Amino acid sequence: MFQLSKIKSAVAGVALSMTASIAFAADFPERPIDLIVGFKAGGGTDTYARALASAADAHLGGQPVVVVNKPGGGGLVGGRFVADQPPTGYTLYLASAGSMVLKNLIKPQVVSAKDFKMVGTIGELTAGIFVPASSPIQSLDELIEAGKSADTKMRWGHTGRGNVWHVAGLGVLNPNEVAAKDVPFKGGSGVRAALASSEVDFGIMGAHLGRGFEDDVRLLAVLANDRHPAAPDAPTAKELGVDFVPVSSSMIVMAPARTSDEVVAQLSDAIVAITQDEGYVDTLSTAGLPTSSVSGPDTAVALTASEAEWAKLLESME
Amino acid sequence: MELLHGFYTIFTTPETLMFVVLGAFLGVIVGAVPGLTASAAIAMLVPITYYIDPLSALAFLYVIGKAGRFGGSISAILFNTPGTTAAAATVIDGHALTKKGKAGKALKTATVASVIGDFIGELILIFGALTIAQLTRELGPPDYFAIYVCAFLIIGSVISDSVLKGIASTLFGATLAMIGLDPITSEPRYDFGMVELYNGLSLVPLLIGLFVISEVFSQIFPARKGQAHHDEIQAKSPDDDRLSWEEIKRCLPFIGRGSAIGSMVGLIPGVGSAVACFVAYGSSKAKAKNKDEWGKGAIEGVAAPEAANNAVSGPSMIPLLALGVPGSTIAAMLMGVFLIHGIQVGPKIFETSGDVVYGLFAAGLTGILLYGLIGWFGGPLIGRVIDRIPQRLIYPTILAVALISAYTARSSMFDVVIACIFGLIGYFMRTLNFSPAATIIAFVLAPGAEQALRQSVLLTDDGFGIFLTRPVALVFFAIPLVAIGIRIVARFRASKQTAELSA
Repeated sequence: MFQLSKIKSAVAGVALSMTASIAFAADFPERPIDLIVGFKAGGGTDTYARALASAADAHLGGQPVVVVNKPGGGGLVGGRFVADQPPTGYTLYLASAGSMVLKNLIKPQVVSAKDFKMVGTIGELTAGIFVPASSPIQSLDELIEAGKSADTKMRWGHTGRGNVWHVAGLGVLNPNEVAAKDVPFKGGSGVRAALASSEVDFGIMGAHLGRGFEDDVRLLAVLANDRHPAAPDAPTAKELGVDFVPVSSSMIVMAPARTSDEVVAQLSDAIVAITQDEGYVDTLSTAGLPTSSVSGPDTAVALTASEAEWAKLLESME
Repeated sequence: MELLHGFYTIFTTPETLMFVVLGAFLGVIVGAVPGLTASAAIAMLVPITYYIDPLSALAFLYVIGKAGRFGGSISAILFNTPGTTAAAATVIDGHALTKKGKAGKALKTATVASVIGDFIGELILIFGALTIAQLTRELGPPDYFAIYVCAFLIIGSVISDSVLKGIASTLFGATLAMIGLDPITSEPRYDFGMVELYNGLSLVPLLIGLFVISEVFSQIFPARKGQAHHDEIQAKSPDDDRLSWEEIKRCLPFIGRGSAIGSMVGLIPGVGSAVACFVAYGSSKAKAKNKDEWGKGAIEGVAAPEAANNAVSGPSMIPLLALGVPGSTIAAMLMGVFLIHGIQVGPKIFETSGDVVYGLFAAGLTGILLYGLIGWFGGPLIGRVIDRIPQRLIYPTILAVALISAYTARSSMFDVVIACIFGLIGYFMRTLNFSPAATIIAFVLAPGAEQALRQSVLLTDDGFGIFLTRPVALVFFAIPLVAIGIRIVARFRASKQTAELSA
């Protein structure tokens, strides 16, 4: 077996070209790649995985990417599973990296970014700050003013303490000394319903969740440096000159830490190609989800940088 | 008009029609197989639907959900094991009818009730979605908490013969629901350091353990004594397999009441069919003239809960379509399908994707008719086929399917172990006359109730005072109090009368 595959790859290498990278391409991947998602089918992370899979085979020598859902532990059960798989590059993990990093900053978890090599970033969800449509508050500045003078009388909704959108909220409330009381809801749709019924004064959730609900909620600003594709008219907190720490959730493809650098580099190239594929971009833009196309090494650098900033933010919380 | 256009689309697109038919068959089957719930089946099928057009995909899953809620009644009636939680109340009178040899009659009653209930629910969805959504959108955490309390008290009062054992079973379920993330602080609690318990126990293995595996255990002893199954199930006269027009008329008021309750429950996100069937059973029993027959095989006792659990289906889509809040597990998965096909779920969906939405409604109505036909003509046949299979083959097969379903829902061996543990617990609960159904329902309801209560207190500086400012909440708190009050007064008067008579 071993001998045969060696001969095969040698023949393929000679037949195709002299360069080493194409010799790799000839024997990897030679079977389907499993992409493990730590959430149920139909969720946001799952949507990214399916879009990636639908555009993948053209960039992986015809081999398909198979999405496998292993929900539990806030996505971490799936992550632990991948970290324990043979490091062959055939089992990858699609992490909602923001939540994985934050969970580990609050308390060490069963699995962290250290258990993986970064393959690439395929998308990034950013937070939006919303008020009910009936609210008199029209801009982020007005909200911050109102929040300062109201002391702890104001209520704001988010998707769960320690969750990305909660920390994103702290990232704008703390620097501006707004001391509103927080109320956790179940998921972004829960926050949105609470806003629609004016149960809370303002709320923080994924900026894409306001699309189609313009009559119920008003997006004051996107808590990021760049404008959001699902709400191109909404200003960013950076444009408004408001002091804030950007907290976002990147969708990052990861491979077990002991996977060879060659395979990771090859996968990283493939991920960059897939995420620039028209099919991938179209599927996600109709769903209102922002795409990114970042290579493995750049992803690792960006992740380390945000980890350091978020650690400071969490320290200021206590 | 749009609805007619929806029908036109369904019947002129062979692919979509095929998925509707397939969904009806598949739904009845997965519903009827104990331990394989419609929502578990849908979860497994969601990935397939990414590769077909949005209307076919949604229609397929939607019809499976409807047919599955009906299919659950087949195993409830024939095997004393609800195929889904939605059929948990049907067991009481449905299986009693089977023991009398009237399985055919019970199955037909379940079919008629399910079809009528589902139809009413679907019509409410089609004609009332937007109007009703305006009313429910004003509900906040305090109102939800009151609704949960109301459901708890009503269910608690009907679920078991012994009030004390009923309460104990309910508390057990609520305790199990405490495992997992604290809904407010997001800190894991009672997870015993196991990452699998980080998000709590999941429903499917619990359901399989308490209902299916425990049933298999309790069948071991009668089977060893050589009690033959087919003696129970065989009809004594041809009438026992038929459902007369007179009987249907007798059931109609109960079907109407069940449908109304089911539709109401469906509107409230997160409450669901399991609650609807018990509330309908309990309140219909209280109104029935033949109260003594209930629990011993009254067809009305099958009709009321079956109408209710299917009436939930349509209205549970209202919060999803109008508010983007999925009202049930099935609705949550349908939301994912909408999302992957680029359809934004929310109040604007009727304008932006009206053709898909009305096509889905048309598919729902077609699906109801189809599973109705399957149930009416095929239900007794399924019963007869199962009757021919020796018990020593049936129960091991059920056990195998149950273990596979426990694994596939989350691809997790841990869940299989949980199912086995709860199989043992369920066995002892049954033998000691505790109620596994109460445990399951409390497990489903407790997290929502806890979150609503703690959110309510956070929303105000007045603590529990918030409930006094909410008229809707006060009404729902009052309902069970009045019901219990009336019952106490009635009992008091009755005992006084007997005392006077004897004096």
